[in-house]
Amino acid sequence: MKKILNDPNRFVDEMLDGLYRAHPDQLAYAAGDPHCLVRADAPIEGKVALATGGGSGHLPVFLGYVGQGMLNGCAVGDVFQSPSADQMLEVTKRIHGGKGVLYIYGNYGGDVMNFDMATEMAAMDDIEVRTVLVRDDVASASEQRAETRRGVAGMVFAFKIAGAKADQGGSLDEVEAAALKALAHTRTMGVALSSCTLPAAGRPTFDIGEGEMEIGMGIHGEKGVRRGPLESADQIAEELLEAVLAELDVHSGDRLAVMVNGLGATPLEELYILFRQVHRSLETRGVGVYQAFVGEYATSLEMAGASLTIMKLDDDLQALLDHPARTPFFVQVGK
Amino acid sequence: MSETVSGAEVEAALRRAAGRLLELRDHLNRLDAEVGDGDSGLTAEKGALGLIAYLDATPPGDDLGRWLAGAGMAYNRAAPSTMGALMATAFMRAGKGVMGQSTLSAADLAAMLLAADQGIQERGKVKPGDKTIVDAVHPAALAFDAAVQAGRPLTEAAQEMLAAARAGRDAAAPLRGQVGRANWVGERTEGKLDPGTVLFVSALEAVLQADASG
Repeated sequence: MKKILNDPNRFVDEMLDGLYRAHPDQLAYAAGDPHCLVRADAPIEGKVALATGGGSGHLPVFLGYVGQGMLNGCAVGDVFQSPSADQMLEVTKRIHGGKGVLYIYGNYGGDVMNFDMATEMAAMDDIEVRTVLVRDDVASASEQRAETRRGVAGMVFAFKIAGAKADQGGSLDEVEAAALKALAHTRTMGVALSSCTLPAAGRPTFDIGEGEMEIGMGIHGEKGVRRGPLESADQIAEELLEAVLAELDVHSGDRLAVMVNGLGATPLEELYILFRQVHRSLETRGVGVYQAFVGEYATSLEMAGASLTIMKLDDDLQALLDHPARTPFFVQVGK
Repeated sequence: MSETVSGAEVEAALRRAAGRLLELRDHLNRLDAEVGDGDSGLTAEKGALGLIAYLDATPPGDDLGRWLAGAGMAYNRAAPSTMGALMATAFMRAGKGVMGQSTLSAADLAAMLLAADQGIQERGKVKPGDKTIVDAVHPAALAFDAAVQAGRPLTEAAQEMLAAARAGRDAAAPLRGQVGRANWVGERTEGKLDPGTVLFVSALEAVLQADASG
C-alpha cells in the first residue's frame, strides 16, 4: 500500500480537520463532533433542510454536496462505515429550519438502520423527517428487484434537484417529490479496473488481473455483473450506455444530463475519452446532452474505473438543474 | 413489585440486566462462534457499559419515555452493531408510548414490550421463526400482555413472561438460522441456541431477579 497518511486509524479525523480548515466560510459541525457536518450558515429558517450521510472514502460523496442550493448537512462515518444514528440526529437538529428535513442517501443496510433510528428520535423532538433512498445502480439488481439496488453517483443529481427545490422555498412534499422524480429519471452503471485499499486494511479489497475489468462493480468493491478482458474506451462506453438507457425510455429529441464519473484513480483524460463516445452515440440517436458532468463526483478511494450516470430531463428537472449551487466541491452557475 | 413501577425501579432493573450482560460475555461469544461471527458477547459487553454510563449520568426524572429512548441511543453509540441498533429501537419504541410519564402501570409495561417486539422485527426485518432474539421476545410480549389483560398480578404476569421467553428460546434451538451470517452457515446452526434469545432470557432473569436457566 502506498498512501499519504499519518495514522491509518486517524484517516477520517484528519481528513475532516483538513476540510474544515480549507472551507471555514462554508462548513461547520454540530454537537462538537466533526462527523456532524453542516453548512456554516445552518439552520436556514423557513426552508426545508436536506441531509445525507454515509461512510468516508467516496469524496466528493457524501459531504461534498453540503452547501448553497444543495444539502444542509451530512453525517460522516468511518471508511465505508455508516455513521451512528446519534450523529445523524445531531445533524438533523442543527439544520432543521422549521419546515421539515429530507434524508437522501444510498440504499445500504447499515445506513438505513441508523438513519431510520435518527428519524424516530427526531420525531420525539417534533422534527418531521422523510427519507428518499437512492437506488440508481442498474448493475446491483434486476429491474424486477430494483428496490434492492445500491445507490451510487446518481445521488448527486438527486441532491442537486431536491436542493434547488428546497432553495426555491418548496414544501417538504414538493422537495421529496422532486428528489423522487430526479431518481425515477436517473440510472448509473460502472466499470472497475483495479481495487481500492482501505487505509486500515493496508491491502487491496479484491484482486483483479492486469488485463481485466469488472463491469458493474459497486463503490465498495461489491461484485459486478461480469468480469472480462479490458476493452477499448469506446466499447466500455457503449456497454455502460446500453445498460443505462435500457430503463430510461430515451427517444430522439430528448435532453439528458450526463455524468462520467471517475472512481478515484482514473485520469480525467480517460473520462473525456469515455464521454466522447457516449456523446457520439447519443448524437446518432438524435438525443441531446443538455449538461455534461465529467470528473470525480463519487469515488471509491483509489479504485480505477468510471461510472456513467444519465438523468433524463423535462422542463421542471432542467430548470432545477440550472438553479445555482455552491459547495466546496460543486458549483453550478445559473443559466 | 407494586402495581405501578417507578423510575428508580426501572433504573435498578436496567442495572441488573446490564450487569448480567457483562457476566455473559464469554458465554455469548462461544454461542455466537457456533452460528455467527463470534462477537455477540463483545458487543453486548460494549452496549452494557454504554448503558451503565448513561444510567450513571442521567437520572430517570419525570419523563421515563424520553429517558428510555436516551438509554437506547446510549447503547447503540457504545455498540453500533446490528444488535445495538435493535436494542436501541426496542428502548425507543418502548419509551415512545410513555412519553411524559413518571410511573408505569402494568398495562404500560405490556404495551412497551409489545412495541419493543414490533420495533425489533421492523428494524431487523425479521419475524418469529427466523432464529433471532425475536423468538424469545415475541412470545414473552404476548404472554405478558395476555396475563395483564386478564387482570393477573404483576409478579404472576412477569413469571409467565419469563416462562414464555425460555420456551421460545428452547423452541428456536432446532431451527436453521435465516438471517445475517447465520444464513451462510445454514445447517450448522441447527440444534444450537441462538445467542440473541439467550441474551434476552438472561437479561429478563436479571430484571426479575429469577434464577438463571441455561
